[in-house]
This record gives sequence, structure tokens and C-alpha cells, in this order.
Amino acid sequence: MTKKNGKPITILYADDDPEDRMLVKDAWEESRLANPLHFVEDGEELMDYLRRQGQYAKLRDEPLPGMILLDLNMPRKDGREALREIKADPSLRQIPTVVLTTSEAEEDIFRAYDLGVNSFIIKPVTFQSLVEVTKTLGRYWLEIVELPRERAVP
Amino acid sequence: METIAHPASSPVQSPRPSLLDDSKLLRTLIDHLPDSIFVKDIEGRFLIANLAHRRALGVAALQELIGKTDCDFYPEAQAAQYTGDEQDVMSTGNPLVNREEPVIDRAGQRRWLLTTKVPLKDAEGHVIGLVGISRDITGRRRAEEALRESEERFRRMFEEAPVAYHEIDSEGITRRVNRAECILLGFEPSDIVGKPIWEFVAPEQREQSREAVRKKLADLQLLAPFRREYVRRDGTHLVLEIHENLIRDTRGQVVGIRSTLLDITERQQAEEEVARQARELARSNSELERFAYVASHDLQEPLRKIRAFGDRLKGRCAEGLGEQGRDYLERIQNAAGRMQTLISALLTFSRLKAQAQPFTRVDLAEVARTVVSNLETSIEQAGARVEIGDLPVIDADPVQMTQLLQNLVGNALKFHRQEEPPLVRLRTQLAVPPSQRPEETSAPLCQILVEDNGIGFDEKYLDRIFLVFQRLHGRGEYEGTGVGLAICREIVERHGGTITAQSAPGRGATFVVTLPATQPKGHAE
Repeated sequence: MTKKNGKPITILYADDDPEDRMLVKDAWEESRLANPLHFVEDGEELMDYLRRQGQYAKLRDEPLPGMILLDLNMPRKDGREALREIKADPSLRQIPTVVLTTSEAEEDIFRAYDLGVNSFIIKPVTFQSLVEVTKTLGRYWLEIVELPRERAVP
Repeated sequence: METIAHPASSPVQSPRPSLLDDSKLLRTLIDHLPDSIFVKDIEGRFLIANLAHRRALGVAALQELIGKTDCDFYPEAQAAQYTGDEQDVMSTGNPLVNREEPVIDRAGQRRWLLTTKVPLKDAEGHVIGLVGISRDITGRRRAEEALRESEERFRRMFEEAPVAYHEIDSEGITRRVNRAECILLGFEPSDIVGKPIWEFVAPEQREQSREAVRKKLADLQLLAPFRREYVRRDGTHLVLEIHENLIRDTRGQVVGIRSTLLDITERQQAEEEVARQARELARSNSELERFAYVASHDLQEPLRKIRAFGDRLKGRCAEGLGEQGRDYLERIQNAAGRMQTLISALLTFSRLKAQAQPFTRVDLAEVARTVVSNLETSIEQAGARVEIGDLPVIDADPVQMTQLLQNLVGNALKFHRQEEPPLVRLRTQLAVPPSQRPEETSAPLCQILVEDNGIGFDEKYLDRIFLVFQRLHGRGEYEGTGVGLAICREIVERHGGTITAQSAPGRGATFVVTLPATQPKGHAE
């Protein structure tokens, strides 16, 4: 849950739906994951956060999040566009990005992996399965796998 | 009097008088000519008449004729006419040449004669009588009349036909145009005749028309009916269907084209309208499919929230809710779960077309075995037996065939009778009754029967069971969405087949699926 430098890595979750943010937050707590979870509400805010610009300019010296959870259908800039930008940006594309969406469309699944998404998860229907999903995500991405070292925006 | 006077009036110098007797020679000659020949004196009395003329007058021997006049043989008026003509010839000395005269012959038939009468003069040049020659031209006159009548008939047919006609010559110049075409195009015949026909074609097709006419006149292009847009005098356009014939001269050379023009403007507009409506229908259908898809997808969203927050309520606040509160919550959760099932079923239904696969050869026996394996748990739970008989190999969408048989077998398992373990039989029936034959196929058909020994249903509900969300049983009795059989029907119809059922309450049910065994090549919808 903590990386080698001892500081827990931040998880960034982009979703325009306040209830989904609430449910994920609850599930996160239920899963007893200590990593801070930060929320953004659409693709533009997500990119601002990642690039430390706009309202996030003051975070310039803070490390980037260690993982991104991404909803696909969002206003202003949707998850598909944000994903393309992240994976096209040399300073961002190594951050593991997991799509968490209600879309079951094969085209969405194919395109997300084509753009380089690390996992594609369909939002579970019951809260209990959402807890299962967050537990599994936490265990896999924060305990089992090795992630690249955190870096601040160059 | 047997001597012949010679019109040339010079005495005949007979080289061999002993061999040839002039009068005999001449009589033989004239008696063998088919034309009537006669000689009369100045008083109009017959001097000579050849055999043909004697026959015409009904006289056998020349003797009976000598000294008689036309008054003795013809009706008064006709005789007077002849006498008058002959008196003119003799008094003026001017011959009457090749006059066509009508006569009534002895049988009472009207005939035509071509008559020449010349004065006969003596050595001093005095008129002493006349010679007449008449040829029967009745046959020719009749042929000419028939031809004239025929020409007139065809001219009027051309002119008065309700269909537009025109003829162009070997240069493409309009030579004839009928009234119907003038009315159709709003021009006078004189506006059209003498002009190249392509001048009346819509500007954008004019070059094409000119080139086509050139090729057809050069005998390089086969004639087939075609459509061409013309322009009326008032500038409005009309669509014509044109049928053509080549006009050839006696040597077989193409010298023109005769065209029939049918105004199909309205027909073309109707065709376009039908095509437009078909496009509109296809568009609205696909919109509807898309709507069903989007609606069922978007409906899932709030439902997911109801269930998730219901879960939260149950997990976190169960204590505070009390027993009744927990019961209500349970019911909310159940209802949400059912709605989830309904929406999923609707989503499946709406995706049938969108996710259709091309037709391939599908072994239905293999499909049936897959279905049995998919339904293994429910088969075991119900203590059921599923018998797979002979099933055919057909052209079909394999995924949809699995869905079809799975829904039918699943249905049979679900509606079983409590007192008897379910038995489901799948088999083929070869002979398809004509009443169950789908309308739009000529392909060989096969029928797949799914029989069960379950609760059955009253056939008066037959029409309802294949409609979306139509159920015959309360939810308390049997679970279900009311979409399963609607999906079956949708699949069967996409394959150009039909589905029906035979049943009675308590007597089991037999679902009959009729499908074409083969599908047209490249046919996927």
C-alpha cells in the first residue's frame, strides 16, 4: 500500500456522477485501503490535475498519482479522449489507468485497450461486488505489481 | 365486211401475199391479246371486235356484232357516255388516251377499264371511224384502293393513338409526330417536325440522347426500352419510357427510328416515393432499435444506484430500520432485481439485429447439444429429460440458433407440471403443411419441433405469446420477463421463417419452427 519511499501513493478517480464517486469512496473505505483517493469530475479537470495546471497549478511540486480510475462517459471531455491524451503523453502514459464504466459496448472495450488502457472494468451492480472490485484493484496494483517511481511534473 | 383499215393509213406492202393474208394474221393476233380491241365506223357501229371484247359484250360470233352500236349492249347512260366520247374523238381528231373508266360488267360487278380511243382515217386523212383498246385494270385499282385504305388506317392509328409516337430519319430529324405527342409536349406538329429529336430532351441528357440516336441509326446499339427526361414547351420536365423500332429500307438499311413514348412521370414519382418511404422506414426502424438499446442501457444506470444504495442501507443502517423497514427494503431490492432482468432481456432483444452474424452452415443437432449443456443445472433441478432427435443442417446465424433453441427448451422446462418430470423432445418434421409455408421463400423448408409434456396453454393466446412482455402467468407462479418467445420470433423471422405452437391447457405444448434450409447467397439480413 505504500511505495518504497514510504509515502502512500494517491489514486485519482475521474467520474462525473456524484453517487458513483460516493459509492467508490465508501467501497474504498470498506476495503480498508489507506491510499488517498482524489476525485475529479470530468476529463478536463483530470488533465488539469495531471498536468498541474488551472486550479491544480499549486500542486506543481507534488508527485503524480500512482493510478487513475477513469469513467468513460463524462461531460466536456470524456474518458476516451482523456485516455488518448494520457497515453500519448510521455510524462503520463506510464501511470496505470483502469477504465471503470457502465458501457459494455465491445467497441469501447476494444478502443480502450487499443489506446493502451491497463484494465477495463464494468461497474458492478451491487455494492458488495464494488467492494470486491476495489479490494482486488488495491491488492493487485498497490501490493502485487511494481509501479514506476513517482515523479513530479518535469 | 372483214377488211381492217389501218390507222397508219398507208397501204400495206405485203412481201409474201401468198403466205400471209393480212386480215387473217391481224385477227389471229388481236384475238389472242387480253385487252379488248374494237373498230367502229363513223356512226359508231362495230366493224371489228376481238375475242376479249366480244366476251365482254357477251357475243360469241363477230357476225352478231356487226352493225350494232353500244346502245345494243350497255345501259342507256353508259352507252350515251361512250357515244359522246367517241363522237368527240372523231369530230376533233384528238385521241382519248388511257382514261380510267368505271363500268358495270355483265355479271353486275363494278370494274375499271383503261381505255384509249383513236380516230381512224382514210388515205386522204378523213376520219372514217375509230379504234378502241380497253384494258381491265380492276385488279390494279382494287390493290391501289386497298393500299390507300390501309395507309389511311395506319395514318389514323398513328395520328389518333392515345400514345405519343414520332419518327425520326437517318439524321435524327423528326419527320412525323402524332397528336398525342404534341399534346404531351405542348407543341404544334410544325414545332417538332424538321427538328432533331434531342432538342426536346432535358439539357442534361441531350448529349447522351444525341449519341444514343447516332449509335442506333448506325445499327450499333440494340434497342431496349429506356427512360428519358423531356421538356415541355412550358419548360416543365416529364419522364418518358421510350420504346423504339428501327425503320429499314428495302435493302435493310436503317433509315430512321419509330418511337413510342409513355409518360411515366407519375410512376417514377411513385417509385421514388416508395423508395423514400422504404428508406424512411429503415431509418425509423434502426432509430427505434437504437432507442431500445440506449433506453435499456440508460435505464440500467439509475437502477444500479437503487440497488447499490439499497445494499448500503441494508449494510449500514439495518439496525435503525426496524423489522418492517427491512421488509420494505427487501421488496425494493427484489423489484429492482426484477427490473434489472427485464432490462437485460430488452437489451438482448434490441441487440438481435445489431449483433446479427452472417449465415453459415449450422448443424442444429450440435446446437441442441450445446443448449442441453448450457441448461444442465435447470435440467437436473427439474429432473427433466431432453431428447434430441434427427435435426437438420441449415444456413443460419449460429449464435441466434443457440438462443432460439435455448429459449424454447428453457420455456419447456419452466412450464412443467408438478406431478410429472419434464420431458422435452426436439425433432424434425419433413413435410411442411402449405399453411405454414413462409410467403417469401422458395427455398426447401425444414420444421423443427420442440415438444413438451408441461402445462400447455390455451391456443387463443397463440398470438400473444410471441409479443414482447406478454405473459400468460402471474409472477408468483412462474418467473419470466415475457421476452423469450418474442426473441424466438425475431430470430426466426430474420431467417425468413415462421414460428407457431400447438397446445391445450394441461396437455403439453409443441412449438413449431419453420425455417428455409438454405439462404440466398450473401443474404445476412
